[in-house]
Amino acid sequence: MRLNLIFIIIVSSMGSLLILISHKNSPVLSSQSQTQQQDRPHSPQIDNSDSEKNDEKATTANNDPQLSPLNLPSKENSNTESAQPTSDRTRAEESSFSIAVNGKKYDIASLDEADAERLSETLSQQQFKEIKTVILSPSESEVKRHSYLYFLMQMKQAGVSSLYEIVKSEIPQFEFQNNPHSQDARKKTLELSLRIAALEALDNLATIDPQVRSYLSQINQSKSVSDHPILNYLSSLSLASGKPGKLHRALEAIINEKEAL
Amino acid sequence: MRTKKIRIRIPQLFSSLFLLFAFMLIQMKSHASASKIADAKACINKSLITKTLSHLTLHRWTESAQSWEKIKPTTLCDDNSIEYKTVKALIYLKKIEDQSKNNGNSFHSLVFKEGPLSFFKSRVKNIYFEPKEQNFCRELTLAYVLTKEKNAIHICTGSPISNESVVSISSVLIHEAHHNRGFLHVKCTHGIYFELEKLKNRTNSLSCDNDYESQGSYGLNVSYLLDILKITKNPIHQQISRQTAIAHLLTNFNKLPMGIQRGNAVASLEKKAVYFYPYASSLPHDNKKKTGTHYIPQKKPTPSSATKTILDANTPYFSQNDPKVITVNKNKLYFYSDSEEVLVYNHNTNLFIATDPFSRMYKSMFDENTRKTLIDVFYPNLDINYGCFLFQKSLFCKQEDSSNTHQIQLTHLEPHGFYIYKNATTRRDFYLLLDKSGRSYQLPNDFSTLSKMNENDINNDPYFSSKQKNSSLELLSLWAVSPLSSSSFLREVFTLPSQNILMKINSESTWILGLFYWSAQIEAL
Repeated sequence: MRLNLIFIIIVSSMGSLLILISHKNSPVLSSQSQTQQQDRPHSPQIDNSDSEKNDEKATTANNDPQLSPLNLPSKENSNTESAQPTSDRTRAEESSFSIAVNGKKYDIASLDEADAERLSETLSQQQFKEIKTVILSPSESEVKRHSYLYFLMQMKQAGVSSLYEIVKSEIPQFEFQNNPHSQDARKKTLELSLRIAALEALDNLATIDPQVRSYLSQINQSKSVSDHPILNYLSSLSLASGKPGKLHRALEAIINEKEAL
Repeated sequence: MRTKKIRIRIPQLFSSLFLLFAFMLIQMKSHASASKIADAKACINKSLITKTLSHLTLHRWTESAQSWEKIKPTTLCDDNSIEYKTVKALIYLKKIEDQSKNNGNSFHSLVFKEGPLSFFKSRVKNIYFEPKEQNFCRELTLAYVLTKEKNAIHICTGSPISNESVVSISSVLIHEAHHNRGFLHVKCTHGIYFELEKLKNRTNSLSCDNDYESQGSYGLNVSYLLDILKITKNPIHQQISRQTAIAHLLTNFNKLPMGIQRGNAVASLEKKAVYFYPYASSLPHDNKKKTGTHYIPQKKPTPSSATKTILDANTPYFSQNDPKVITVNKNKLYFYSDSEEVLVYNHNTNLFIATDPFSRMYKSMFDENTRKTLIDVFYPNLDINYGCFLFQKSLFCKQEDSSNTHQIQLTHLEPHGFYIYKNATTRRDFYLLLDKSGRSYQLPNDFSTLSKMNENDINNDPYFSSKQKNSSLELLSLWAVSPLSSSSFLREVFTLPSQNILMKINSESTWILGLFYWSAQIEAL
């Protein structure tokens, strides 16, 4: 009887283990890390509370169990644990992404400049490269790419090199981009908007850091920029006048002009 | 004993296995329940659906039945499906509509004035999710409307919009809904789709709005995004809405913001100046060169040949000093050189030159103070055997190939500039002298007639004294504001030629293609 009981316990444990594995692979949870599963509040149905919550400036660390697409270990850990982007589920209502640094999760939308600068000090070059890769990857979601770009922009000087690489990176070609009503055409617009945002960030930084001007002066040398009339024009604004910050003023003027109508 | 023991244990083993399977069955069942709960997490909240989707019907094409079936939104649980994302975007419209009611901001877009969801529902009653094989859904088309229908939009299920934010998806819905009120696109006259239409001869491709002010579907899209920028506190949504709006403003409108114009850089033979020359891209058949009218070639020069040309010519680069704005002929050009020479266009070489007798005379005949008042210049051509400098207080002309000159003092006139006009019948050029009040005077084509004239002859000319509707100056101003709105007028203009050249931003930068954008308003910021 005792043997039977032990046998039952062993086999039922295996069954539970099998069930657990099966559960992990279910479509709903497969995109989330183990930690996220523990953190994520269980609710029977998704409502728009996520987006409402994320539309507010939230607190920073450990507050938001959303997705952790890029686990960014600290510099000290980088030798043993490389940053690995995990596959993630993208939902339309998601409005920002979290990153994990030093075992803590941070909602990017909630990071202020001081937070971002502090976090940037713990990132390795490899991790900066991975952030840039996400931003330049057309297969990643719009929110994720903009979130990571926002993170770079908030870092100020630490993000300059990556921002520079983003601006001068070649805009990818999409199969149906010539169809203006296609998804591919929208992708093309997204690619342009990311580069304009990065360029504007550099232009702003040049007002406080003269060294950034040397980056700006080299942007036109990139074929991808010089071949794109709009990017070419925007990138020349600061330099032609010798007034950093002019691109930002120009873009603000463009918006103000339309809002004044 | 052993045998006995075995006999005893076999039934026990069976009973144990039975118990084990029963236990596993219970476990499996509980797991199935757990999975159901997990799946249910992705379904959309019923109360939100009720609040949002009233008076809206969603349809899905069923291949097996070859018919449309109504979708029950509560059954939408696949958060990667386009139907799911569409409903979530509609819920987002509801959310920001509620937010906007409690927001102190004054909203700019019609969308927010009506309320985003109300706006959509007043224009759309039916959403059809089309199979990707459907004709209009080719090439990853995202959504479309049919003009013969009312209150319906079609969304292609083949489009992988899973990567788009809720802000972007909702803006697509707003864009398409607006089409239902008759706002259609027009052909692009600049930007990527203009180039593509030319290259691929896609004459039916309507990919732009004329301008933002008309608030067509792109215009409304942008104003919607700018209002999102006001209402959202999420910095990522702010970044998406702002940068997307800017990208649209720079690519999807024929009239660019802040007076940005597309043009070419043109270089002087003296290698001292580069000018901005507006690009008359809106003209029909503008890839054909017509007599008397120059169209900038669309084909970009290969980097090697262009570089060679320019480097050989030692083309000047933009000065970092503020450019002096001058008008040459009817075109506003931006003089980036410190040179005090007037550069004039030579028909034979297609270049601005400063070494011919006409321009050399400029430096020798006029003192510095007079040179500072230079407004405009035209150069002799096949139809007119003299050239003139227009100063604030005088008109000075010189006969071609002779030393004969004639000066008219302008004490009453406030000159604005010259305008070269080609007579549509005779195909001959003639020059108009424009004044600041909008009047124009046709200068004679031969120097002998001109040499007998004074200011009174101009002032007393009946054509000149009566300010006319659509005078040349008004047309000129119109052209300056919106070169696209007066294409028939432009067709008659003898425009300055230019070449595709390379230019430099500063002495350290590399050569870049001369075709570029420019805005006096932005320059002044």
